[in-house]
Amino acid sequence: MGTTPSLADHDTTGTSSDGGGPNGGRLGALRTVAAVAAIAAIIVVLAVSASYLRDENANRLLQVLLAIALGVVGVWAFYWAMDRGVSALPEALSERVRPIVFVGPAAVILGVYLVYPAINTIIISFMDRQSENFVGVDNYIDVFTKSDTLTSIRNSILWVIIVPVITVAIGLAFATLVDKLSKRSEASAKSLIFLPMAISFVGASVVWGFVYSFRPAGFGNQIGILNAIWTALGNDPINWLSVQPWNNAFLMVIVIWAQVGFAMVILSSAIKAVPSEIVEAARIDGASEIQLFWKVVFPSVLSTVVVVWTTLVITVWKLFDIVYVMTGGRDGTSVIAERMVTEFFKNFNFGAGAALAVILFVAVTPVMVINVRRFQAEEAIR
Amino acid sequence: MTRLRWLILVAVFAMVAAACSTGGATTTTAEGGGEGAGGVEGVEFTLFGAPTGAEGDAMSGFVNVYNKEKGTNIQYVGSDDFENQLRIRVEGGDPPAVAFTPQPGSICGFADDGKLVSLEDLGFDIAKLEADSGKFWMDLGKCADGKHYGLPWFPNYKSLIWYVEPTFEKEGYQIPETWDELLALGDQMLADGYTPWCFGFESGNATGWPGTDWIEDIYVREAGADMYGKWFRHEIPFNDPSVAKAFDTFGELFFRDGFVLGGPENVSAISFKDAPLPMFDEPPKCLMHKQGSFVTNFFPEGGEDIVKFFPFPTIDGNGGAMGGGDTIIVFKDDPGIAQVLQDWVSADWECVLASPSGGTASKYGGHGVAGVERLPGNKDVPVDCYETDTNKTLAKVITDALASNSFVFDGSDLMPPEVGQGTFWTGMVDWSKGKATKDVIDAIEASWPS
Repeated sequence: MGTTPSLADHDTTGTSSDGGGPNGGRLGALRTVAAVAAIAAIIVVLAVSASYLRDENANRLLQVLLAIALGVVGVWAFYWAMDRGVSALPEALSERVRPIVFVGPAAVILGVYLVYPAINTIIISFMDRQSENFVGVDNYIDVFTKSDTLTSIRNSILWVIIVPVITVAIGLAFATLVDKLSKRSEASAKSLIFLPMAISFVGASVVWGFVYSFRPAGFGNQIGILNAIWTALGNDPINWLSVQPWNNAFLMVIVIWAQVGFAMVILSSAIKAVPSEIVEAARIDGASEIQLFWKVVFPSVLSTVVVVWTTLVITVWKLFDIVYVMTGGRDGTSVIAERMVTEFFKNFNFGAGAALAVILFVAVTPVMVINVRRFQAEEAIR
Repeated sequence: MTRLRWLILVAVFAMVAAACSTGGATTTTAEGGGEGAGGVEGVEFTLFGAPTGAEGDAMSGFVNVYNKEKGTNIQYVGSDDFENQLRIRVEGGDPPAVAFTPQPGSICGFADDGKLVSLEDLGFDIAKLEADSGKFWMDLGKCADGKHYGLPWFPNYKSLIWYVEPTFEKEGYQIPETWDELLALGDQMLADGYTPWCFGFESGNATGWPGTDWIEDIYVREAGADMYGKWFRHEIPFNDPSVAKAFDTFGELFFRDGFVLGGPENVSAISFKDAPLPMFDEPPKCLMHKQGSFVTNFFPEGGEDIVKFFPFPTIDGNGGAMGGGDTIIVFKDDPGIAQVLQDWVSADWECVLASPSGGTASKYGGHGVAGVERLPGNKDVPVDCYETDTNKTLAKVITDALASNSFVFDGSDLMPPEVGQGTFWTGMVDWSKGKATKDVIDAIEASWPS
């Protein structure tokens, strides 16, 4: 909704300057009016249908159909009408307006949905729980003094140190090993390892909830595979997810399980891109397979390793779902993103939630910078 | 080609316009009613609430009976995400005309922002409401300006202990009436080779709440309703000695050797829905379990014939009745709506809300949805509105508590969410695993938002 009025304004200014222009004939004026009318019509259609979508008493089926139509046709119709409208303008003007018309909506949407919320979040983090008064850095002091947020920061740091490294290591190992297999078994081995990627973190949590399932004596048989094995060995069942601090490790296993496929696929293609001449030359020089890996293959794929690692670091900083579903942050398992959601949507303490969001933002930034720098350096080489 | 495109565009426009005009028609009718101040005929509004599924169908059923009987056109809309949706709609300037909320703690937030219409302004007789539904419940909706904004509708009840009746009969166990008798009964069961208690604190992200119910039931008996009010309003600190005492009293039972099936340190891994099930094993693996009136939903078929309930025993001679409930709030000042709500909280219409058929007492029948029964929020609702014996008994307990003003609300629902839905819950989990009472209540006190 926020985007449409600004565009309309934009266009009317374009028309009025055209009306006063010297080469605007009667036909040109008519075309311009028609173009503006078409654009106005599209905007009205979009606005009216958007308000209809929010009408609670309206027919649900019609709403669904309209939403699909709007999503598929609406954007196309909007750009098409804009393009038509711009084409109808006098040529000199239309060439100047066209880029604005095409980039404008994206820029506005980016501003409204990305830049504005980011700035607003920073402002809110210096305000009280209802965002009514400025409280200075109180929220940040709270974050760094309260025991539950301190635990979440400690855990998040552990997650970021442990999970990406292990995931990349296992992914690289798999990628190197499957590379030695025959074509067909390589494909099937890869797809098996890649399979968990297709499951959402919430889905993975449900699966692993069964693995870690625990029933105290008197409440039936153990249905969790881990406890089934554990009790078969003659031990008493264990409530895995409440054993501090190991429960954090049990949660990390889930992310590693889900993300190893991603690391493997990317690294595998990087390994395949290592020129066979170099590998063969090393073999002829008498390098063992292990030397080959550390001296030839690994340095060649190092940049890919860094890319995969940074992606995983960002994923893990932002991780929320697995902790929320599996333990809800109890028993010392909370992480920053999970605390943030709890502060925002459960406690309605917007100040504290925003402060955690800003901390997360700051934590992710250096990794983003590394990633972008690397990307640019590689582009420069090409 | 171009012409075709224009045609499509026009067609889309026409379709959308048509769709909108129907939508527009629905909205206007929704705002039309409420002109005849005397009667309710033709009154139209949307009632917004949390129940969905069978519970939601029962609400719609109730509203439909009323519409048919009185010629109104009221619509019920339920949402699983009620609390958030309500907040969003109110802040977005599009509140429902009438809503009913299970969180009385949220009422004054809306009222203080000037979003609600007070019961005084709607012409309700506050003294009568206090007599019908208890002053405690009415006071929950009494806000900064001294007016009342919450209209009690229907409660649920938590001060209950469920027990395996056949075993009680076989062993000749007496229903305990005091806390000491309850402990002694447990010892007796232990001596007879039974495990007395089943507990289950697990409830997803709400894990720990069943433990808070224990503390609340004990606290209201030990410290009294006045202190209970001070406790949830934070007029005394959470680590007050009276609170520590309630934890210690609970600990006498909870941590007594062999009292808890599976061990006290494991109860946070047992779902509150699974917790009653060992009572139905043959022979029963535990004999007693405390949970609210809704526990019967988790019983196996015919379970209500085996597992019955007795009221939570007295402590130091003091009883109490603790539960939750749904409270009506009104966003639109309209005499027609006020008239409808007067009807709804009357004994006659609570009877329709009570059960599928309205029992033998209802003038207008019931809401028509099998399996859904709701306890009465008005002391005058006859027990004959109910179909099941369990609910008849419960209804009697509730109406007595309402009449004697001894009905108090679940305290954790009234505390700020950081505590009531946060550290109090997690504190119970930590406590069940052996963390010292003092550390637990100090941590909860530290988390109370200033």
